[in-house]
Amino acid sequence: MPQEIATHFAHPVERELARVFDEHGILWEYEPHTFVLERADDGTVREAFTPDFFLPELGMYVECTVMRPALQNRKRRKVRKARGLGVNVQILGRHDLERLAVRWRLKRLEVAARTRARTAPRRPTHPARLP
Amino acid sequence: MSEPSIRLQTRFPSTDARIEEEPQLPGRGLLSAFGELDLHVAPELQERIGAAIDGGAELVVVDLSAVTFIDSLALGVLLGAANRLRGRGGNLRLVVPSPQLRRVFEIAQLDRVFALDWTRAGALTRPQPLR
Repeated sequence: MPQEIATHFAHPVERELARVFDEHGILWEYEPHTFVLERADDGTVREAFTPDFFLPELGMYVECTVMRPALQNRKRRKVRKARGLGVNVQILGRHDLERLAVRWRLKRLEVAARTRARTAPRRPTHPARLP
Repeated sequence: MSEPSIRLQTRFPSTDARIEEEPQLPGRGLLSAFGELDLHVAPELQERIGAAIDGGAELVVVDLSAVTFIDSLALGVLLGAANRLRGRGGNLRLVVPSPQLRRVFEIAQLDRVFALDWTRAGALTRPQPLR
């Protein structure tokens, strides 16, 4: 069974992007790593970041941001912090995804990119694996 | 927790896949790739580009005009070579005239990383970045 069917995705656009990766021979993992961005004085994690995709053969993370602008800003700030830690992460915003989908006629991705989540999707809780 | 993705199509080793090196001026390397660049050809691609860099090439051009398929492992090899050359003040340029192949680069977000040229002449004559 293709991995994109077996994986639980937080947003339809992530499922479609996984399918597109599969179709183009791009190996991916979904949310495999969590990066600690900030710790409190007692060592507890105050802020963490889990990129949506890891492309293991490229050593690169991909983060999709198709939600409300306010949440997008928060995500982009996290991405900047993660990059500051040396994490190679690319952001795919709504416009990037729509442009990609229209340019290459990826109809399902185009529709998914235009699907607006009413609230921020909750990530499934799982023990964080630090790379 | 995710597991590595499964390719939708089973791929068999391509019989016509090969890498050829063409003579160039000192400090330049030109490689042409043919057929399907996948896990079977990626080690040779890595070796050939590595040899060009070790031989003193500061500009390495890989012509992908005759490539019919590229997977993320081969993309990773190109990415590694680009990073290695950048670390020495050099540059890797890719000749990618095929829309199908450009699509893979864009989907993997590598059009943000690589300079993609339409022609070999363009790749070889374009001014190099200042060190």
